[in-house]
Amino acid sequence: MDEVVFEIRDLCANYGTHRVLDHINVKIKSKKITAIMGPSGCGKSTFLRILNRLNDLIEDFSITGQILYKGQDIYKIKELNLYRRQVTMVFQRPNPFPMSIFDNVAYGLKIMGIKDKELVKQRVQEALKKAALWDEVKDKLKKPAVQLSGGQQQRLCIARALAIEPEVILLDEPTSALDPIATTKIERLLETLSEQYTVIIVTHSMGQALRISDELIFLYQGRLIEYGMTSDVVKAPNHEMTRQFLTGKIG
Amino acid sequence: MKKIGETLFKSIVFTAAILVAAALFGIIFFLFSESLRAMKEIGWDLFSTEWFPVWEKPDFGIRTMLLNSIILTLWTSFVVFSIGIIVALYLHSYANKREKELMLRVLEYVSGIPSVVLGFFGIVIVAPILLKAGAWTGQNFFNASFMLSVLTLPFMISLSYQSLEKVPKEISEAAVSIGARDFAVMIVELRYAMPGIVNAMMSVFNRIFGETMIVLMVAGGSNLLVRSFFDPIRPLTATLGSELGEVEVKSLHYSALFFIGFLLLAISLAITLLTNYIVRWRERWIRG
Repeated sequence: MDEVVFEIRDLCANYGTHRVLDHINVKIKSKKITAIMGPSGCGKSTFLRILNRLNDLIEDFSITGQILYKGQDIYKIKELNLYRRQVTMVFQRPNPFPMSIFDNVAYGLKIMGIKDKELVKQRVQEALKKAALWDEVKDKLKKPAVQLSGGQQQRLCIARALAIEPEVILLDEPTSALDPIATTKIERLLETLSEQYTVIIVTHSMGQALRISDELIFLYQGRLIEYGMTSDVVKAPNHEMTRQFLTGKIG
Repeated sequence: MKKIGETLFKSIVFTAAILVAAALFGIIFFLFSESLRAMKEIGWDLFSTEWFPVWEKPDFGIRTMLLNSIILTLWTSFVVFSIGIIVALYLHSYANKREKELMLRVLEYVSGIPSVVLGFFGIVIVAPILLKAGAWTGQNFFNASFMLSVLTLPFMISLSYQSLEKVPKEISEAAVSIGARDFAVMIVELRYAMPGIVNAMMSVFNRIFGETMIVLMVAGGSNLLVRSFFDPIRPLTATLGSELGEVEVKSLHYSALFFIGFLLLAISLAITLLTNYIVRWRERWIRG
């Protein structure tokens, strides 16, 4: 039996009076890649941001329902930054900090209060290796992170998230700003990472979801249309909407 | 027809640009040539301590005034930078909409106050308070520094605030999403906003360094090196402001005053160049 990391119960989300997620019930399994799919505006990014509680920053945003992370309601957590260090996030456009490559990855360790320089060095190196970036940057760790290529920057952002040793990595269309080669690298990377981490990825691309995901969640206009193992969904979609999306008629 | 208009517009813009550059070089050249006489006849004694320009055996030493100017500017800048950045961070990170609007509106009004009015305020309101508090003169270093802070804080706050507001949301969110507390998020935002903030610092520094009216009115006017917050002082600009109207044209005193002007401009330009260099260097870390 696969372990369940997130159990989402009857989740509704609103921006002001505009409802973006409508009664979502779903379970997300540990150490798998779960892809969240759907056309633009279906609420998939919102869903992901809720899992990191990032939408707390938005003023008129509200939710009802429950999200259990390992049995704990995440909207009742007080030490939010400790929670975010377990369920961390990578964004659509690479967003390295205006610091050196090394400092970008070390940032997470510093905010955790790790002061031992040797330990920081070691953890930065590990994270960069896990993000398959070490060989490309090991000679220029002191250089500005923004001087890397887009794909490298995105892997750096993944390394930054990995350095704090999270359990879940949320990715919001991480390859939509990248070329096919950089995209392939990141997809390979995610497959490797899913052996150790729970990976939840929002993606626009059907192909990407099919290539890398174990589980598929399909959202349409804020409602959960389809959810299950990717191979099952592809073989026999339950819903007409999913079939149309799979065959490229919508999306 | 369209082409003629375009050419005309281009030439107007071009002329304007040339004129501005020419004006700067003109000013530098004029100040320099007028101060040549003082440099030749007085030489390094220009940097001695005593300034008695109209005595029988006059002294033209600007060192005390220069040091007082620098100390006053450094101290006031330090205060304005610290308070300005803290207030800007508060407005950016914590203030609600109404607080922001109110604060920015107030700053806008304060920044419109003419410096002569601030000087007047310093004499009429601040000086008596300082006297009551036990200072032996109301017009002193502290009074000047305080009024200069009131003059420049609005710029510092609103320019820093604008730079912070320009930090892309994704950068701040990236820090939040990996569990950074407020302070750690602010560090990232400050780094991103650094070029704008450094530029603001430069404007403020130059404004304080060059401000004449306030220091003329409330600094006290005594040519002694400052030893306490409540000593009266006379910065370079105050001397220039008070004596240039009275001086005999083309005299040695006249030339020495131009030397002060030349020095002020040179320092100000050096600060600007240094700032530009720092800003360009920081921007490579932000935009690659």
